[in-house]
Amino acid sequence: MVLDGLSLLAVTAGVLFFVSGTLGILRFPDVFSRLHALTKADGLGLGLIVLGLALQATSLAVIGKLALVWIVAALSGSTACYLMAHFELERAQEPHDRA
Amino acid sequence: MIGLEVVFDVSVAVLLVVLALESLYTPNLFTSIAFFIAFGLVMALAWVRLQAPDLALAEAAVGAGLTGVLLLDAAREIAAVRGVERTPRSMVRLTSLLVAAGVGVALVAALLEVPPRAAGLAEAVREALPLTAVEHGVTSVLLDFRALDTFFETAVLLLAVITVLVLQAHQHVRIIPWELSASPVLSGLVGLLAPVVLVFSGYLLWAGTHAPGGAFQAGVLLGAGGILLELAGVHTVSRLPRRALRWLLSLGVAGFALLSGTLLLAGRGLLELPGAGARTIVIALEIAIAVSVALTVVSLVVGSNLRLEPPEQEP
Repeated sequence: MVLDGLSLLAVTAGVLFFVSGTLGILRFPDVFSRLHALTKADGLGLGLIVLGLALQATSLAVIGKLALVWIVAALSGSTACYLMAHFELERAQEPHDRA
Repeated sequence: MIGLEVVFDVSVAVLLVVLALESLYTPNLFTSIAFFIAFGLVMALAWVRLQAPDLALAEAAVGAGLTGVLLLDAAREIAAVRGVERTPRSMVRLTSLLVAAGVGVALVAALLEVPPRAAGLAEAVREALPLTAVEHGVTSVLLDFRALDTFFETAVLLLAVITVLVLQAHQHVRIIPWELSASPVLSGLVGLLAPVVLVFSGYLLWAGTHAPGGAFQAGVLLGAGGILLELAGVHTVSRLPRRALRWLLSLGVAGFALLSGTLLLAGRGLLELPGAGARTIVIALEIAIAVSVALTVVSLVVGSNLRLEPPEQEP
């Protein structure tokens, strides 16, 4: 019962992070702040959802798989974010004489 | 009282249609592809809900992932030529409409032929499953009951990759701006992921004998790992000698051809697996197909960056 409550809390908080991240992507003005909103919120959101689901898991193997999902998603998410930000930074620094 | 599951399923179905329409009608090519990738992911979700995890895996990997990458690439090439706004000519539109309408009518007609609530062949497959080499229905259909179909599927894949390689060899199209970022962050991630991808694709291959998985999913995953390596500047497939690459690309078809030839010579039917050793044969075939699929995937994306040998003298 306590576990159920904690799960519910964690998953709900996770969903809220996803929603705010999506809102950030839609409303923030430039690439950097959008990336910030997306990766921070999604990383934390997914972490909280994974936590909520792990509390409901019936075996250690399931918990391990859930943790793996979060680790891989967090790693690839932040790497993709870095690459996009890096690309945008280089593009922004290019002289605009071609236009 | 409508259950939550129904609400979820209906949302998925509606979302699919919306994404498909957006993908078709949005004026910007890039946005259109983004919608297409989202469509693929939601489609994978739909397959999960329909309890077809094999299809979900394939849809996510091929439908959303690989096709998405290829489309983005193509869009970049097109944008370099004539900008991202798409302006199909009315003839093209009319022809597409007619073809789509024709296929739609044919599909509806076929659907009307199906008796309502038909169980299909699922029951028959389940009953005959103990007779086959493996314990997973989908794999037994792919590599035992209907191995002939899979034979030709691998042949189609081979033809496709041959076409792409030939075209690229002659046009010198550069697909992805390699060396785009000799980034330590990307290299670090790839260094962490590559072994995981290798192990997981081996697991998928093995799991195919008794659970969702199998040669195609394992091959696509392995291929995705290969693309990641190439992107991070670790050249594996692109450093293969051309001759070796050709053999490995043909491994799946060659395996099927060798098997069916041997079986015919031994006086059995085409692809009529012998009782003893069938499991070994199926697993060997799966490995061969997975290797071919993986290299096909890498070749399709990396393509023109493969080491080209000097053009052969043709008569």
